[in-house]
Amino acid sequence: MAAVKETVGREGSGRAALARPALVLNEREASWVNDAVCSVVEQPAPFWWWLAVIAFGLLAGAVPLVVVYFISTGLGVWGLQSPVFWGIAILNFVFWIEIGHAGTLISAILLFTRQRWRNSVNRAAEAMTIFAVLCAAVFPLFHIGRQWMFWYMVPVPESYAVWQNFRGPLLWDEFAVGTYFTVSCLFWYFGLLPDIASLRDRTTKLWKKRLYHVLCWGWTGSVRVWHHYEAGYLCIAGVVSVLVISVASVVSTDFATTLVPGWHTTIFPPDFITGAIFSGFAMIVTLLVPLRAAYPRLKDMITPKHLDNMAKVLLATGSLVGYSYLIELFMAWYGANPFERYTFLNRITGPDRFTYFAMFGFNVILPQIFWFRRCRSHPWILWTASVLINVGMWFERYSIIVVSLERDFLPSSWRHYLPTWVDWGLFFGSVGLFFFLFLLFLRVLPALSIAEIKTLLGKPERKRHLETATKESAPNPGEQIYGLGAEFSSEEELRQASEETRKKGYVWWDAYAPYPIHGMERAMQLSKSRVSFFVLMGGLLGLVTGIAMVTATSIPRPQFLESFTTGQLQGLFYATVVQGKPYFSLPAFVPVLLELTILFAAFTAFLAVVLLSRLPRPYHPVWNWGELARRATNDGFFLVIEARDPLFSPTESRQFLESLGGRQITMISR
Amino acid sequence: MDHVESVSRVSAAVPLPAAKWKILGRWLQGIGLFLLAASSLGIRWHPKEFIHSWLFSFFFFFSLCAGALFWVLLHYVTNAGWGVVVRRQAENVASLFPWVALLFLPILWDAFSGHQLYEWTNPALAHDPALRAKSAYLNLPFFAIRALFFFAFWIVAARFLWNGSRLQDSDGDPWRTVRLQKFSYGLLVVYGACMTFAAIDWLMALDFRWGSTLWGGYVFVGAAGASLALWILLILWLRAMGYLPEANEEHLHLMGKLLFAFTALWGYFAFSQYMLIWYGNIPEETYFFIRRNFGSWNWFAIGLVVGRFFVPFLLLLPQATKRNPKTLGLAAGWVLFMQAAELYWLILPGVFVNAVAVGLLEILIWAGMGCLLAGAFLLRLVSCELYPRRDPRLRESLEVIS
Repeated sequence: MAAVKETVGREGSGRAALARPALVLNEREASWVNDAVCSVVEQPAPFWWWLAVIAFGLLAGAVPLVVVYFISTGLGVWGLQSPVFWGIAILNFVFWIEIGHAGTLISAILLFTRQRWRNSVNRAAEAMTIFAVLCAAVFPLFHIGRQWMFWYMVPVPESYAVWQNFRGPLLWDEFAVGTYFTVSCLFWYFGLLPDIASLRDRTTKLWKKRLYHVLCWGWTGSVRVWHHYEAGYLCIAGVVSVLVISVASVVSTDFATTLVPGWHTTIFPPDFITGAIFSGFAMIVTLLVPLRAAYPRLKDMITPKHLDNMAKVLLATGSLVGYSYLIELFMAWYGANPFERYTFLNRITGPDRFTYFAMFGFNVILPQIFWFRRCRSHPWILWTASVLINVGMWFERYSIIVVSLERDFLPSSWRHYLPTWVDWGLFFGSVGLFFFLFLLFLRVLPALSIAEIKTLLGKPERKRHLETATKESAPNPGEQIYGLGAEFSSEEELRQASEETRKKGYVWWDAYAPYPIHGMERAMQLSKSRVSFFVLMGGLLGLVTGIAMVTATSIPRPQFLESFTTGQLQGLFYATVVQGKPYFSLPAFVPVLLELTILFAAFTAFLAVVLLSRLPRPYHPVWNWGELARRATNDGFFLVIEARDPLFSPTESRQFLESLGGRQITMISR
Repeated sequence: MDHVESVSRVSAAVPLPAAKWKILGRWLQGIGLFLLAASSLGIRWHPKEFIHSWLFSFFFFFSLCAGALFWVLLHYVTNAGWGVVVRRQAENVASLFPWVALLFLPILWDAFSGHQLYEWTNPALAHDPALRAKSAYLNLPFFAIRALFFFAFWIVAARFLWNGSRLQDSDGDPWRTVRLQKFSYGLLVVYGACMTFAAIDWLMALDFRWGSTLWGGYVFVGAAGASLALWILLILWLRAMGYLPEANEEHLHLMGKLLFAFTALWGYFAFSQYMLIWYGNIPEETYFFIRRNFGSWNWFAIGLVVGRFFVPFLLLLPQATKRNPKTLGLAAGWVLFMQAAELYWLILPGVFVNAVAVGLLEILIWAGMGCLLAGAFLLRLVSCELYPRRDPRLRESLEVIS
């Protein structure tokens, strides 16, 4: 008997060790999620927020001051001197752009790898992405020297009949970062729609209600809209996953396509991606740990499990970054090219060797503490490590960029690079700007994705307690009836009711829910959303546009066009030889083509969702039912049968809804 | 509790014809050995072609085994639940490593005495300055020690994972899963190192002057994708015969998504490597591609771009094709074929310098190794359960929704 008991205990403990921890703690309800997340926005700002926002705001103020100073004086006030023409300006650009990557990664790639814990952290991460890209954009924008000529980089037809060199990595950068910024904003905003609707339904001030109403395009919570919305979200996430990989890769090609020793290495694209994920996750931890300390209610949604997972990601990516360092080192030796060998020797033993050791120590050795559960689960150990990792990643870029350039092929021109106060001012200003923007974001929009967290709440059968008393609210005579609504106490009940309603033969009816419910498509027999088709078409359109633009502006004018086209059209052809590359250099065109495909596909996805679900909806009769208007974005599950349905009859439909278990059955006036 | 349910479910499945397959497996192994013996006559007349095609076939089957080991490790490392039903087949494939190690012996022999395969092993080059610069790494004893270590690690790791999972079939102890997970983290780290340096030793060092930092990743991604394709084919086959009805469309969909992802990943790695070398245009690097973009090899290379990336990418893009066993099987079979084509393109230009050619030797050796390993796989298949019946995550896997 004892042996049996022991095995049972062993079995039980083993299963307990393998059990999936809850992603929202303490059995929270949907309405609690609304309260907890929205209260961050709605309640007056705490004292620390004012303190922090003033401090970082002042720091961010350095950016315009420094910018005005060096634009009026000239770029000579930067520390750039031959041979280091790419100093910490490009370093900071790479630093920030890569921090942004974790946001998109969490939103998109973790969505596909079914990591549901992402639902609680993706919003903050996406916001962080946008701010990081903004900070990144500061540097190349001002580095070009003549900022008023920035538009030269944009392909404008007939602009002095000069075209960009689409084979150049810096132009790829512009396309990649531009696409990244716009698509990230779009994705972020798209995810925000239902949550802005939540804010709208909670607020009591009319101007705010109107503003939120416009911002969420008149979101109703209709399941038919959710159907398209989910398909659109998946599609945008799909293209964004490609985007996040392409952007880091394109940034890496700024270096890897050159012949500078230490830069020209094939592992750079994936290396930059792992570095991006690494530094981005470190930054998210840097933001989230204080956030959950400041708002303890959020700890139920950003649980120790989340921190544990993020620490594991840091360990994995840190080790992958270490793999890249080691393999670069090995190949520099194995390749037996004296310049390569010297560059790495210089990184390790040269005057800037501490940057190499800082990079190795903070990025590779430090994350190894996350092999231990204690370090993963302790928020402040995790936080400290994350801050140091960001420092390490900054030094990685220093070691790659500056240390490689300081000693070029001509020893007489070697020079030690020293950033001036202007460089530092711009960098620390960008740090201030980043945190300043994030703090503002906290007070303006929901920092956690309300609708997505609700899908983590647990058993779909869980019932809300509803008042059983149905209010006999007969519509006033003369008022037109829109339909008959009923509330259901759980996701599961709504699904069954929808199935019954469809089987009964009703056509004009809809269900309303605060979050997408799994299996509703089957219950309502909604046909597969056509969003993905539109996205494919949009992507193809982008690809074709890209091919046309890039090819025409790179090849000589074809003879056969001359007979039947105008000189204007012929002027588009602009053949230049750059670096001895062929006119039609397909490998060098791929980045631009890819970015345009993604750009078009993402915008089509957004438009397709909006149009297919007829979204800009200034007014909808269901809002005349106060209960629905208040709670459809909170914790209510509603079903509304419209009066125009051929089967509709006020009494029979009411009986039917009652038989399904609907409560608070109400006539909704038009 | 889970295993009770699943046992009742299995009664609906067709039982494996174990006795028949045992005989079939032995026969296949016999045929394989015979084919390999017959092909070894080629050493006499075409020693260079023989050893190159041996490396080609060896690396093809090696990549399938190594990839399978990766998928098992990944399953544990990511604390995954969806793949329990299908995991056993990956474990079975990975556990064939001892056979793969045997197939490596001729290559080792050639390194030591034939010198037809790896130019650097040739004593005539001992004083070549380019070789001397890296002779601390490229020397015969170290080469052999490395190979020994790689195979020892792979054999032990694959055996450890297979055995742990198999023992759980009998005692149902969930702590086995916990322990396998714990070990897998460390194993994956060593696995990465072994895979990288095996790719460098056995493929990149075919030309000791050339190097690429991405090489390990590139070879690994191809291997993992091809192994996944084989895995899918095995599951489809067992399912079609009714032996494994537990693997449903959801599992196919998930595996199809992974195959899609690895197709894209391969395209990304291959493009990164090609584009950066093409762009840099340094003679010491580009000649790797020039050799392979020359004459009919160029058409072969273009075919690879289309076949290894675009075809499976477009085929697997819609949701429906990933859920449909026929189209998924088509894509998986195609990826497997393309893995062979890619390795052919990497290795055989060493013999067929001027134009693409396929000879009897290539087919014989490939078929011989294939029969040998297929026989070994069949024997492995009947030696254990078709899926981990008492894995604590089994229910999660059975109920998974893609």
